[in-house]
Amino acid sequence: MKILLNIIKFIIAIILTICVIALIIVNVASSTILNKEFILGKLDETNYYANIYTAVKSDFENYIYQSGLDESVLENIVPAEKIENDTKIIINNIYDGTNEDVDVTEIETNLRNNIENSLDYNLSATQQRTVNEFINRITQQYKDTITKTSYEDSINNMLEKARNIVDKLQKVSIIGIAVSFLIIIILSIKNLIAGLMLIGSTLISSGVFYILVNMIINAKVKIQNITILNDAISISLREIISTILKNLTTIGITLSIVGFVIIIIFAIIRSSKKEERENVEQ
Amino acid sequence: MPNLAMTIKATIKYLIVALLITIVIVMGIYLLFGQEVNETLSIASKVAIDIENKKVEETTMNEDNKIQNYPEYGTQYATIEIPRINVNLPVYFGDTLEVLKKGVGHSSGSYFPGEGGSIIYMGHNSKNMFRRFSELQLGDEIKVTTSYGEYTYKIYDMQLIKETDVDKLPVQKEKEILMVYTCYPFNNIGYATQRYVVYAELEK
Repeated sequence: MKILLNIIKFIIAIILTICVIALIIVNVASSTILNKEFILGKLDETNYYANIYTAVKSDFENYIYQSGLDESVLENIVPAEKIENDTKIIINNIYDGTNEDVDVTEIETNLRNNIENSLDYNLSATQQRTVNEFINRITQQYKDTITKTSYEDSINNMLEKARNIVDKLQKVSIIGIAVSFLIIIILSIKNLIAGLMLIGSTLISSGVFYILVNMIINAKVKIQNITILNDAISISLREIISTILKNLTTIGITLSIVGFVIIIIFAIIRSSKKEERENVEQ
Repeated sequence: MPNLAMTIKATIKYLIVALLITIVIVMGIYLLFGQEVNETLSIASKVAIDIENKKVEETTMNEDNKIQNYPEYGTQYATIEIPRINVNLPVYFGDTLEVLKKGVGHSSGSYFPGEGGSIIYMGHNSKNMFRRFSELQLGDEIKVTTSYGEYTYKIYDMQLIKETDVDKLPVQKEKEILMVYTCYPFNNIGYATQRYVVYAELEK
């Protein structure tokens, strides 16, 4: 009977640990990748807007070589503030489901003025057409560099689904934690200290799990070398992933320490009580 | 006073319980989602390239004219020399705008020199690149020097095509042909929609 009871308690402890792990995952997810403010904060922190400005200028230069135009026509066509505002439009489209488009009229006008000022003759009809095409390519390139995706709606839908899943998982985890905690206490009613020490073990397990996850990811993936699309995106992405892993590790270490302290405290209380009992019996 | 031995014994017991719980959960995750986890980590490790410690093997060619260790996309693997117009430029494997900024691009869908098929190169029509293409004549030589050999081609045709005329740049493996193109008109203003193509066949 005692063995069966211990097996049941062990199984409940596993369920409790899984619920703790799940609750932490959903909380970290909703405060980081699912949180627009977190992403905007990280973009600021990693100098994203300045880096993307450099990427935009570099992409424009790719077109200048075959255009027969002087590089100076690209000067000051995109104000740095516009890049920041346009990036925020894209982030809003993704996170809030807005449907605002990036307006390139200002770039078009600035570029056209620069081209006209750089030439000391009137363009022929054919040249006018190729210049228009050049301006279209440049503005399209700007949109591509800024947005990097034409699937903002799909990403927004995915985020909405993820938020729903996270909400449900959060509720289920909290209920799971409460129920399994209660069951452990009820099953250990005759020896409450043992029940509390078992809960300490589940906290250590959850903590060790996160430390292990961090170690495995760091061993398999060189986070600081992640390279996607361009430097600006890569740098911000590395910072976002590193922050999430750092948060999980901090939580893991904290849980392990708390669990260990709980076990030690109740082990001391239990041995003191046992000692007292033995002294009284003597 | 608590009994130290008893305290340590109880602590170890519950630490072992913690270890067992962790093992069960990790094993459970591995059995249920092991493949997905491995695939995800594998994809993630592919975008985390350790450039500094990456070993680059030299491109070579074996006796059956088969390339060993194709160059990495975006890296230089050859030089192109066109004496008539005083061109001597690096050739990079790849055809993105980023590559073309550095030198001549090699279309990734075409063959390499020495492989016996169509080789497609492209470059801007800027002053230090292919601006003087119109001065080329039939019979002029184009020399391509790679890490595995030198190849000389003789120009046999030159054509003006639209940027959408991809059939004018056919990829085949019956005959080694080098096709080099640039944007046209050479003194273009804006975005050029025509291409000036030079066709050359392998001489030696």
